[in-house]
Amino acid sequence: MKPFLSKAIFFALILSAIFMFLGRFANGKTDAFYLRFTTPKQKNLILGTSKAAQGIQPAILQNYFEEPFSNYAFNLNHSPWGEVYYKSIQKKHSKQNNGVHILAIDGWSLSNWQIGELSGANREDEGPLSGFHFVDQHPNYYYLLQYTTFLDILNPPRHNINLHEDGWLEIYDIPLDSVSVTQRTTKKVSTYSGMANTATLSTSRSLFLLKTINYLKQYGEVFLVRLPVSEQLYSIEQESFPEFESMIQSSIQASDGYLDLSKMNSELNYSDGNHLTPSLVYLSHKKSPIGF
Amino acid sequence: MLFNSIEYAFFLPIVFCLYWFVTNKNLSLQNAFIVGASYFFYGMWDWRFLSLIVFSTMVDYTIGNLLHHYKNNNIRKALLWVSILVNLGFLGVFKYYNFFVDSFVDAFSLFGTKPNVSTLKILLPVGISFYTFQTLSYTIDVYRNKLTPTKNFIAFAAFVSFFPQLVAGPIERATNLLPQFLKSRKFEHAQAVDGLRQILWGLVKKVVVADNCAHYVNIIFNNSADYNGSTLLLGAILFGFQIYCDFSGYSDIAIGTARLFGFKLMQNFAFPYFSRDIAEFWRRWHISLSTWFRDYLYIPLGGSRGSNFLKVRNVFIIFLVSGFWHGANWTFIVWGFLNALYFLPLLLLQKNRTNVSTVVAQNNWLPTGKEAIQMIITFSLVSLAWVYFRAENLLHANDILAEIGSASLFSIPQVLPRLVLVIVIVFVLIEWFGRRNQYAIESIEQVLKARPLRWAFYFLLIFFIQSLAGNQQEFIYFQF
Repeated sequence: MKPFLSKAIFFALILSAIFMFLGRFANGKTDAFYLRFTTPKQKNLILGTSKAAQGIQPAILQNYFEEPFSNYAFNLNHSPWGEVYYKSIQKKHSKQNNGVHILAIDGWSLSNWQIGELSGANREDEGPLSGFHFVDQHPNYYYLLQYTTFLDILNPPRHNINLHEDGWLEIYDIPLDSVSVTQRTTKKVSTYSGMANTATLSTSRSLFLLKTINYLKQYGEVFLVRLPVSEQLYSIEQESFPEFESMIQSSIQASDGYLDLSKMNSELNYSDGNHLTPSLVYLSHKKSPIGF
Repeated sequence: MLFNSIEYAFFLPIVFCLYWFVTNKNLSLQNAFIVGASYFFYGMWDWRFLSLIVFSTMVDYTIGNLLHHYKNNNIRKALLWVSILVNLGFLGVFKYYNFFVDSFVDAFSLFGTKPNVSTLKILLPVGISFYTFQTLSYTIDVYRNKLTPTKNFIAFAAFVSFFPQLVAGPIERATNLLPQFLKSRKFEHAQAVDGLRQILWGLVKKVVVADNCAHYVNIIFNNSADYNGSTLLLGAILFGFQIYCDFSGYSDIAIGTARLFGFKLMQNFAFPYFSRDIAEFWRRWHISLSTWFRDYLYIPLGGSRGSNFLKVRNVFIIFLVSGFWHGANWTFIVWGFLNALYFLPLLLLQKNRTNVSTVVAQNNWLPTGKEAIQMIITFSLVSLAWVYFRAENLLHANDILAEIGSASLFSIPQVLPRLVLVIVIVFVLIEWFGRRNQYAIESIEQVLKARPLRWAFYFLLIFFIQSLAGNQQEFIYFQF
């Protein structure tokens, strides 16, 4: 037994050392989520889906509020409003008082459309936020082991994403000419039209949005924002969720303010109809009244 | 918890250390620990279904001892039927109730009426198809006086719930596994090293080959209407590798894990894609299940004795039941039917036992031309049948096969996963050179004699596991 154990332990130690060494090289290009799980617990959070992940730059808010912000928004499949996201936010929040929290909301992040969701499962149940405890480890070996490969670290697969340490997901080096944007937008419209066939607003998700607001209100202010999208996608959303505005009334009342930027839909540019183009992220912050 | 999960990577060494260092002085304590660890393992899937395993264990333990106690044949037969009904009853309710209800409703709607029968929203307990068959083998063998029932309830519970093979086999016979719980296990260095090596190879099959194939299989099958015949054929072939590597990989991990604890489980796959005919394929594929059906269904029905009508009947029964065992869907039944059609000519021409004791190219590096053609034909037949196994329904499968059979078979595939094809080719080569072993890299010590070289090889495999991991897919056979 002793020779077996000593060899096995020695083997495991070498393996662990290699992995721990490689893990230190993981960065914002490894994948679109990793760095968010490596920063300490945060006082000021930006929450929502990919529109918020790409569209709200923490650095801009930091300039105004003179405090660091962390973008803890993911995407429509992993961080729609619900129990999984609510629990993850609780783990990421530092419990410090006087924080400012920006919550991006829209019909899709409050709805279900996948077949499994019609019978009670949630699409985010199998994602990295579900049951994930280690949200502030650097390097985050658990996340790396579970969700990435050595190749992701050594040779990141996608070269046009860069997740900043503050959580902002920067998309760069993508063609932004009108033809490319139109093609991506057409694809996005097709995707969302398909989702619209089965999408319904979820009472449970709405309740968890309210729970999230009430939780964060213990530690500061909470502002809701509806980010702009292209008119085509906006009309799909409006048609699919006519009762959205009435559903979020209780959340608006519980919050410290609601900023509906959908009024600016036609004034802004998007990379794919859904996500603001990077150069205009700053512009939208300039245009919108900060004191909301 | 999945075998290829971080949780299992922590679970296994902890259980290993407690097993050999804390509980090894007392056999009952060690068996009880196995039961506890196995229940914990199963409970991580769904603790609500632990009660089923416990109940099944208690029923068959009791019936086994009653069978030994009573000498009257009628009473013994009745007791056996109780065991069969309880075990198959669970299987029937959890797995097949909705299928029968839906099929009943569909049949009636052909006559213009649609009866209002509710289906049940039942979760399928993980592993139910495996452990029910395992406990049934116990009571049947006791009934046949092939086995003396044990009075050691803890050992019996450990036999039923043994975690390496609880959720997806191999389906062990009581005659093989139960005696191992009734005697002390001694730690053997070579066996443990071999076990770790087999676990490693199982992970390569599952994570590197199966999960990467699965990615493209899902794309092709889920959007089959968009693809031409050659793409769909590629999808069928990749599915053949997915299901083989997924299931045999799991079996390798199960067998390797059992070895770490001093147990020997049966080989479940013996390089089936190197078979020269369908009969050989079925001697090499999911051996624990096919031998179970052979011993407990086929032979009692008469086997291959008797008239041609009886032979044909028995073959169809076996393959249809085998298909049905895999799932509550007509696609599995048609899959079984196809395999029966493949098998029958060999049986009726008495050519079903031509390749029993040898491996293809037994003493050569390469197969002969004839053997190569035989393997290609066998693999092709099996791959076409897999279409039914993977398809959502019969219509889906028929559409796919129709497209494969059309002129678009000769078009260039619309999906060409180069990396996956390289992985599959390399994998097939490694399996080919290791085909005489229990698993492909079993005799690596003879090839790489120096330990540093072997360790470098293991590190390389681990690097591939970590680097080429496909999107994690659940083991296919967990749905059974």
